[in-house]
Amino acid sequence: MTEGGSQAVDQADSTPLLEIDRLCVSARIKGEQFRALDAVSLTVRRGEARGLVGESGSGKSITLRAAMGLLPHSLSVTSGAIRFKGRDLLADGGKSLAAVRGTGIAMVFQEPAVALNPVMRVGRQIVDSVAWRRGWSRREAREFAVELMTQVGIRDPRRWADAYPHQLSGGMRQRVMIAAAVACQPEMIFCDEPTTALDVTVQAQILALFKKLQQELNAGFLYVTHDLSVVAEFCSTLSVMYAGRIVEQADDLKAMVAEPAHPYTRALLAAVPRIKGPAKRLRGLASSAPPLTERSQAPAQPLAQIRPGWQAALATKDEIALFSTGVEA
Amino acid sequence: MTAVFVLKKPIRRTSLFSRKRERNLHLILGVVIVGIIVLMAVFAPLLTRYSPTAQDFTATLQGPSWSHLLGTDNLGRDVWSRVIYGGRIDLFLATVAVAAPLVIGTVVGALSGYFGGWFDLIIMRVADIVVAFPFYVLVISLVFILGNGIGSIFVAISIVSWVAYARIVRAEALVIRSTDFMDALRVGGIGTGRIVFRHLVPNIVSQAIVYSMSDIVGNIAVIVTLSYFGLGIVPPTPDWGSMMADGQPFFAGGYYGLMVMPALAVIVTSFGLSLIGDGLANLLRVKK
Amino acid sequence: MTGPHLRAERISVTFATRRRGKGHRALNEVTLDVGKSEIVGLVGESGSGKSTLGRVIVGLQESYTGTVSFAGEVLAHRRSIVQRRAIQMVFQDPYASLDPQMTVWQMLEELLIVHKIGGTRDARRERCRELMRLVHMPASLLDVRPAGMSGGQRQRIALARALAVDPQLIVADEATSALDVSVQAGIINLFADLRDQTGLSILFISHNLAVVRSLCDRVAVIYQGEVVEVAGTEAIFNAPQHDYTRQLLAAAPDLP
Repeated sequence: MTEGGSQAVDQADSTPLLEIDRLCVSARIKGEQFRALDAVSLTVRRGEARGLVGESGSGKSITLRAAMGLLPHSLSVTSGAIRFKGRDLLADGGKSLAAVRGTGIAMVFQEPAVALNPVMRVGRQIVDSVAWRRGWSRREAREFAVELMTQVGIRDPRRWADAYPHQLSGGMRQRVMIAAAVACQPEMIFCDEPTTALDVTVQAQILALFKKLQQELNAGFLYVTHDLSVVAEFCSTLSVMYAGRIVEQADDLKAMVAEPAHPYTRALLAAVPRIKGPAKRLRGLASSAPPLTERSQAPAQPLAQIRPGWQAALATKDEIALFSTGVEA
Repeated sequence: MTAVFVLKKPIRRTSLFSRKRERNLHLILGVVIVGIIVLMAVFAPLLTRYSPTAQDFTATLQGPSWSHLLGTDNLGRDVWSRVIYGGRIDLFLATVAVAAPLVIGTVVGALSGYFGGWFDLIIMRVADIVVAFPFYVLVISLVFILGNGIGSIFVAISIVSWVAYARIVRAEALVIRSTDFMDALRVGGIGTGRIVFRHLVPNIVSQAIVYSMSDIVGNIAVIVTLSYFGLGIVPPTPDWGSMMADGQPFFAGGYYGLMVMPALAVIVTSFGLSLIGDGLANLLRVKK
Repeated sequence: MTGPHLRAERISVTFATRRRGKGHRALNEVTLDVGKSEIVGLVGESGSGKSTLGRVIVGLQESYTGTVSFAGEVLAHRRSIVQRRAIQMVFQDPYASLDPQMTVWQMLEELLIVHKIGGTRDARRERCRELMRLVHMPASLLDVRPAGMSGGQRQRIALARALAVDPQLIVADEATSALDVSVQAGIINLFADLRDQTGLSILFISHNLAVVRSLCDRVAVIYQGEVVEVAGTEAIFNAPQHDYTRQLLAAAPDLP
């Protein structure tokens, strides 16, 4: 795989495009409130691709959905802010969010089979919202759709624009979703496990497409996934989550991966199998993160700074023990 | 792979006495209503001193009084006794008549769903044929052929009712058949018979049981309807349907109780059973 | 090594499709060996036929041409109960592969009874305790139903079940793909330890090249129903011969 990463962060615009500031989300389970997200803070700049990595129960998807206003009813934001270009999206009861969704911020989901309308032709789905907003004719809309489909690498776009989603392969459906996402020239793209359901060769193509789009649009990416290897291929900055909190994040992904500061990051990296380099025995953890109802309800401590642009949570003695046991089997 | 939020279910099982019950009003209300009726039916001799068949021509068509709680009918029989004793027969028959279709339907449906192929094809066509006939026409014809009496109703309902169970169970079986744990059993060398009866059926029977509650309601309706027309349960055995038929001519004369009381009994019992069915469905859905 | 433990020879499987005439050829004259105390990786993308081959080998796919032989004996398409003991399987989805109605003990005991292992209840109970030890799970979980267990715990139970009848080969079909990475590592190590300590052979089916590399001794690459390359792990990863293998390696993401 080619050298990973988007443009280095210091070349990108320095004002943050997206700023999540001490976001707290709670879940209502059987009448009681439990912390689902605890003081999550991160930034994404123009042109930056940030990976948001965590295992199941880490809260990475919740973070993304909170930012898009797509939280299910049982979850609600209790405090914190989500700022897009300086404006708090949560402050005015969803108006700003609605305005920005699909235009300023676009989202690419994991299951294109589920996210696409099965009874609407694909070409139309791609441009529907844009064409409506700009009052285009059918022909103009279709031309734009074909152009977008070419941009995302769909061969023979005129033919496929009239197809229905079930007639396309998984990779093509994902390209259609991406085309729909970039139709309005968004400044920020949220990705929720966009390549997890795809074959390895198709995944590589989609990642290449992301890189291309990032350069063309100079968009910021917030890329949520459980797969550290994928993040290493595409992203330049990294945030790692565990049990609803950010445990470590850095503006230099390579440095963080080479020498992780937090014991959980270290444990995570020791568990990921590699293709290059000497084959080493992997080290795992005894169990996954505790479920929401069994977590400590004490508020999270602010992250400590290791270096400018690199923070990590202070690990308690219990946590150090939990993550350093290096369970072999 | 990842869920948006991971809620691990606790290991403790939900029992009727757990906190979940607090919110399952359907089940509680249903159990209370049906419980009362069942108790009344069981303890019928204690609740009335009159025999339901004892005629008293000195006290015909009386309204409610202290000696006759709900009054008497045109033959001087105590209405209250007849309602309670009628409940005995009707409830008993309706419940028992569910048993055979439940068992037959579940077994047939499970085998049909698990094996598929010719067996499934034939069984489902037989089911289609049975269901194609209007239900009451079929039941009435069978009762005519088999003669009047409780046994005939029982057989007639069984021949017709198993289909719904079979279809419900078959649908569940089709889903479960292709899950990994079924494959795992085959790989482990477990025999087909054991797979179907020890593993498949216990996992799919809950839907059939929920359905059986509404089936009991349906059976009550069938029994009462048949006896209204003079089929099935024969006098002098008291039963709600024949009571309604007997009481009908007196309705215009202002003697409402004779017809309304048994009708109310049918309605309240059916309502209670439906609530139980709903409550069970809720309980099982939550447990999943 | 006296000869391959497991030999799947010229296996072809065709699935009927709605379209009349040609069916879908899932496997085309595939030959694959697994030796004693060896972990062989079977790598491919979706539609490659890797799961189908696994199912043929383990006896779930009864309609195929070709032969599957184990320790020299050709196995029937419809396996007998004795033939089933030698080859067992661990499935992908930890939430679908265990009977929700049974406790772990009931699940394991049933297998022991059916295969006539352990004559008395106590002997069987002891064997179950031993199985739990093998997969590093506490014996207290024997009387618990799978409902409250995590994915990693369930896979260990599934593995204990597969080991209950004392097999010599286990087919692991994407057995770690649904698990968190930190839990996956533990299961991978468990597989490796079982190979070293008990001489168990494993056919490890996966789409994940990195996992295959960290666990397997030899790797077979399968593409559209045909095995395109088989070699030792290091040879495959350092000097791939076939174009498709090279394509896969080029596409696979990796940490720096």
